[in-house]
Amino acid sequence: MLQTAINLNSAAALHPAILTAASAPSAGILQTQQLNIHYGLEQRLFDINISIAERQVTAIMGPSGCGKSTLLKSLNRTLELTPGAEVTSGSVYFGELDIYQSDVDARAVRKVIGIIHQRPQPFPMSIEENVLFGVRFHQRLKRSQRQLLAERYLTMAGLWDEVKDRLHQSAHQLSGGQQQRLCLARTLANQPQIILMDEPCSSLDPASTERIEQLVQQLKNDYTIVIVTHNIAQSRRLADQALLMMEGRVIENAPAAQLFANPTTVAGQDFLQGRIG
Amino acid sequence: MHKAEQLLLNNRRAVVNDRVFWLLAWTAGAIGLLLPLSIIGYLLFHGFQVLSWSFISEVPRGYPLGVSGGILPAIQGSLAVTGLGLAVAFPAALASAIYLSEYAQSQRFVAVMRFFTECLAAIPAILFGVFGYAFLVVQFGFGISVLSGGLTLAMLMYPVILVGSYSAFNAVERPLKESALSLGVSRAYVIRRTLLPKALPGIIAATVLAAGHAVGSAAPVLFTASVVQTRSSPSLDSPVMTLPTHLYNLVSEAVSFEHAYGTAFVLIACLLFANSCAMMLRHRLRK
Ligand SMILES: Nc1ncnc2c1ncn2[C@@H]1O[C@H](COP(=O)(O)OP(=O)(O)O)[C@@H](O)[C@H]1O
Ligand SMILES: [Mg+2]
Repeated sequence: MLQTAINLNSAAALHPAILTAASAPSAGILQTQQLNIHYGLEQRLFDINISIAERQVTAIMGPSGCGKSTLLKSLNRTLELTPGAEVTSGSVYFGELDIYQSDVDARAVRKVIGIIHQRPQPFPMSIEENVLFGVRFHQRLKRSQRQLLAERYLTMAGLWDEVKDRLHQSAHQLSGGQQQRLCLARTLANQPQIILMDEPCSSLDPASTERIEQLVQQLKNDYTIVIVTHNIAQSRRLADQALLMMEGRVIENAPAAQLFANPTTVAGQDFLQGRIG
Repeated sequence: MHKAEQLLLNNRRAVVNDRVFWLLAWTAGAIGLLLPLSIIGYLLFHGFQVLSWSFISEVPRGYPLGVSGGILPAIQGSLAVTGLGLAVAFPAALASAIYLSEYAQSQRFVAVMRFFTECLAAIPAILFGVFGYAFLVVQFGFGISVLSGGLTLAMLMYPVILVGSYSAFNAVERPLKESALSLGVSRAYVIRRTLLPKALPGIIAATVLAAGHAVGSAAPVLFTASVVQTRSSPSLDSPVMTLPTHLYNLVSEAVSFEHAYGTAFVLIACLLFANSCAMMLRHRLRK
């Protein structure tokens, strides 16, 4: 696993553009080029060309079944965990590196580009072990470091105060909102550069939703965030850039303010006014 | 009376239906409870004269052998063959289950493997005994020994543990696996840290079922491991007495029915003990 991490880093060293992507905010840190995706024989994504700007929140909207989750998972190579799903053509560039290139290790990609799923999935272990699940695979941890790291990332995920007295108890006893922040903490503990979120609030109550939204606002200072949301109001509140998808295609892609003010397509207008969705 | 009001009155047919169903359910439940209890009670009733500490701590004596004394060598022998069988079958079956549920790419291959495994589980125990005799005892020259008997029991247990463990792994929700793998960790790490703890209760259940089945079967060890009498404690290359074959001898030679009932009771008590331990373990794991 060390080797794979080096592979990605050395590729970054070979392609200085990865670093320049960081200094030039206009060029995206994550870009897709003519991306096509099939499930078995059915094509579900068509010619996706998008660019995700660094340290911004990009919202992906669209009616259910339009391919938001599929697109999101293809951005960190977790789509291939679904049997039958396949990127049939096109590329996804992280900086200048095509993450679907054959010498790129999917695990290294998933570490650098984390993902939070719709339903939180706490692992069958203690809260602290949940936070350190990825870290303990990627690096050797001294016993004394564990609590420190757990505290750091639980604090970042806004969960520390609620769980500091029960770090060694099962994560299953947390509420849904707490579980989702735990998932955020364990993703942050991997020290990713990009965080993908797939409808992170759709199974949460309004108070928990607000908590997650606050966290997204804070995290965007340090991370690039792509958030799939069903909720137009939520992307209005959060997004710098917004995409709208319909039936496997991106039909609107603009700075959020512009997209909400003047959608360029009829379907876009319909969706934003709640006539589709 | 209006129709709506009539609806509120007791519907005689529904009530009768409920009663009948209630009675059937209770009968079924009572059979499930009474059958094992009455078997144990019966064994205890007929065998209790011989049950004592010396019965399980002494060797059989008398002529014909077994009319007095205890059954210690049979207990030791049964533990030896079943223990060896488990030591071989458990890791093999667990590895196969993990391979089939987590690594095998082709669904067709998995289906074919499952089919053969289920066939293996359905083969009568006596056939394993004959097979073990022909191959292990004669062909490989292991002789009538703990080794031959243990390996024969391993064949008997392997498919049961495999099928149970495979189902336990398969029952772990896919999103959990996906979330774990999304953190960039290896499949082996996910299996060790999340899937195994989740599947463990199911694996334990299958293993206890298989071991209980094995320890109580006379047929697989009859030709491969057991003799009527031994003097030494069990070793890999020597034959042993076992509980089910000892029981078989006591009854078929009409040696002593009291001792037979006592032996049967010890056998059942061992099974109950193993099952209770497994249940407690599962209970603790679930917390
Ligand atoms: N595992 C799968 N196998 C086959 N088709 C799938 C699978 N997952 C999703 N799809 C199909 O792909 C399309 C896009 O799904 P998805 O990306 O989950 O949509 P969204 O997240 O926008 O609701 C849908 O039509 C869905 O039926
Ligand atoms: Mg979705």
